[in-house]
Amino acid sequence: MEDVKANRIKGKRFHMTSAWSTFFVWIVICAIMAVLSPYFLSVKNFLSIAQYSAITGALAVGMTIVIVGGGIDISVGSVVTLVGMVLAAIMPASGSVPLMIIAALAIGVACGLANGLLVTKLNIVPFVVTLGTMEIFKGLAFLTTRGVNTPFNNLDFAAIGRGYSFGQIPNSFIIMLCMIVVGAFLLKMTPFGKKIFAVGSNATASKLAGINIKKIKLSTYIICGICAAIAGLISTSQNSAGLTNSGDGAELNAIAGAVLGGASLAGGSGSMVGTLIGVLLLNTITNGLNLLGVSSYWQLVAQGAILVFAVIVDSFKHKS
Amino acid sequence: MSELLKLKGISKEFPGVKALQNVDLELNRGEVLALLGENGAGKSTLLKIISGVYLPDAGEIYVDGEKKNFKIPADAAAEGIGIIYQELSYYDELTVAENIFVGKLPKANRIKVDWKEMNRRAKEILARLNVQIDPRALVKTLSTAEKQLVEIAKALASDTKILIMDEPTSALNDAEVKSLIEQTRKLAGEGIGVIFISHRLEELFAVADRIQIMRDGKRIDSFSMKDATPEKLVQLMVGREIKDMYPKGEIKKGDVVLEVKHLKNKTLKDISFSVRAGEILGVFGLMGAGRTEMCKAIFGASKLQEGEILMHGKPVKIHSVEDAKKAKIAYLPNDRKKEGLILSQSVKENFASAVIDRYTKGKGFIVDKKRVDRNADKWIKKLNVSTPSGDTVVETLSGGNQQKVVVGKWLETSPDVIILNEPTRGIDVGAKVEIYKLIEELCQEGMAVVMVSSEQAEVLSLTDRAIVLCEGRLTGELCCDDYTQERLMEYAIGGGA
Repeated sequence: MEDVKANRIKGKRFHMTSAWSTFFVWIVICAIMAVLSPYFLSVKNFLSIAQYSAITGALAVGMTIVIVGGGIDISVGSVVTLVGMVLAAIMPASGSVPLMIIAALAIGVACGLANGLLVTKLNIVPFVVTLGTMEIFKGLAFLTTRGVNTPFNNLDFAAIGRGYSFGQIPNSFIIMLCMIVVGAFLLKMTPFGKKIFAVGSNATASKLAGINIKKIKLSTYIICGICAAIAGLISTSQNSAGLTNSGDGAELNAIAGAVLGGASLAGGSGSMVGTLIGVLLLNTITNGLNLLGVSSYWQLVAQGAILVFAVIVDSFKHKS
Repeated sequence: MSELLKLKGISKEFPGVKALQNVDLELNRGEVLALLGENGAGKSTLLKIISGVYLPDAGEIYVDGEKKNFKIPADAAAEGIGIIYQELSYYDELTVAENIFVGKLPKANRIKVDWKEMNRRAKEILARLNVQIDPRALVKTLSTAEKQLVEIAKALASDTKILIMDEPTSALNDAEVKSLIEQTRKLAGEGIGVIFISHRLEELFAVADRIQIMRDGKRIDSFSMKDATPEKLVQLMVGREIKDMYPKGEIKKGDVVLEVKHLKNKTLKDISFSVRAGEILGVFGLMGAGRTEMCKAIFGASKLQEGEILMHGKPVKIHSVEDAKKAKIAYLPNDRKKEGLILSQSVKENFASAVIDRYTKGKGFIVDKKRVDRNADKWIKKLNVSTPSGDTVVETLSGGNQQKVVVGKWLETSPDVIILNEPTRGIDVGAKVEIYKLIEELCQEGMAVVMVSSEQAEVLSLTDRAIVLCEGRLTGELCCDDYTQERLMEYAIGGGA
């Protein structure tokens, strides 16, 4: 909404907001896929897209908050892996689902706290901090099981990522939607959210307005860590295993989703609804290419191209 | 004198705004032409047309009597038109010489830059400007005034016949302004035509031969500087008569509100002063005197090693801006774009940014949007902010209106003392007068005001008492008969009793 108004004032009649333009692109892609593949346009297929969107979506919620606050967190993929390995390691001792959830969230908070403290206390660039912690968290994940993929059998736990509610709606998708709603509430409605936008837009002015910018930044990284832990829960549950590569590249998909949805890497702009559409767009393309039998290598190329496209759009937004 | 540049009937329209309507302009060889007008009068648009950034919708441009069509800035540069923008565009990490020759480095052969030649020519140009700057020094090590001179040198490095300076003095202090004026006169003496924009009238009288006044996108008048008086200029510029630029009401002073004792840190060396309710205390000093540092230290944005801050006689501990806010201290930063505003956000969001925690419902968890709206409407009305609405992005407002937003944001915290750091920098005369009136109103309501300014006239006219800083030390306190321009300067350069 803010963007719409700003553009109206600047007199740009044909400039849409990112969320809307992404939505438009999504519709176009759906239309193309529907023509190319007879299997695409079905309830079952869309529910499958929803299920596959859950992990990226959960990560993208936290990523959006960090990006709006002027930061970036590329360690979230490793957090997903770490959560999986730790849960697989403790699963034989206790199969209690609440315990698993608490353990995962604790890991998320710890990782987010580490990132946040390094960024705020030592004043290191977020990209470098999280590049470092990405390696550290991944190393810790390997150490947990000595680098071995560890499957387990726990039907209750598997229901988180593979179960369905209200008929055929995947639980994982419901979890992600709840996160989107909570995230949108935080960003749009609360003083905390307003401060995240302020800090991301102009940290100096925010500090001089009496906003505790370190506290705000630290909070965004902790929230991002928690979101990554939930993504890790969903992933581990879907795999019924701790896999050494479960989070590989997930951070890039999350960033791509957020940026496609209108978050600016310069900070200070972004929205949860936009991010949701961005994530759905990414997964719709993957799904469509799968249906068409395009090889997974070409899918990687397509995903990379979309990320580049999103960043180009972002830079154009800044020029205008 | 021969005519160097002539604009005839220039018009330019942007969606919804007629920025320029049928504007003429003449500039002779060796002449300094002052261009005067309030913000939004169309000066910047006119400059951008002369320098080829915008294409005019109608009208003609003649250089040396020949009709020209500038399609891109390079076309104008090829005709010897150089422009120095308000926001300086230097490269901090490059040397002075590299900055001067950026885009046209002299080459020894196809690949290698001829560093010797470059530094030699840079030295030549700097000598022409009478400045002592090492061409090999990094630009980031220079003062703002020196950076400004490097910008001028850059314009001179290509064969410049016409030099346009858009508010070159807004970040300079009086002494630096004086030397810039000398350089400008020297360049005019060499036959260069200069267009000089500034809001400070006294500068225009010192530098210009002729003046052209613009208002609402039209040329209002143009005449020799000899026929100009400040009253006449202001009247033509704002289209109405401004009788008393500085309000001079008698305000009863109350008890001491803010008192600071022996402030010390890296920059500050033992600063003490106090200010009473209803009083405006002036703070004067040259660039680098520690004025901003002093403000920030009192406001909790900068660390203090020693010293005491008292509000209403009681000591307060200020370690952060939040502490200062609680102690009812407000601070208006000197750089409103970087420190005062969140430019990409709306007017109403900026108005609420210092009090957002108070504008909540649901036990403080939810922002009360209605109160945010009402707050913006209140201040827009009270401060006479000209903005389409509270939803307008603050970046699109003029400098004066932006400043009013920063003021309103702080007044909403209902402070007992407000520290204003260069409150009128880079804003037009009309808005200045409004800010002065506002400051007086605040005093009448019993607020204590600390006003930092590098304009002597402003400090002298607005305040009855001032402290002067030099190199982090308090060199003097002036009032009554002692309070003169000469004494201010004397203390500012570290002299005095």
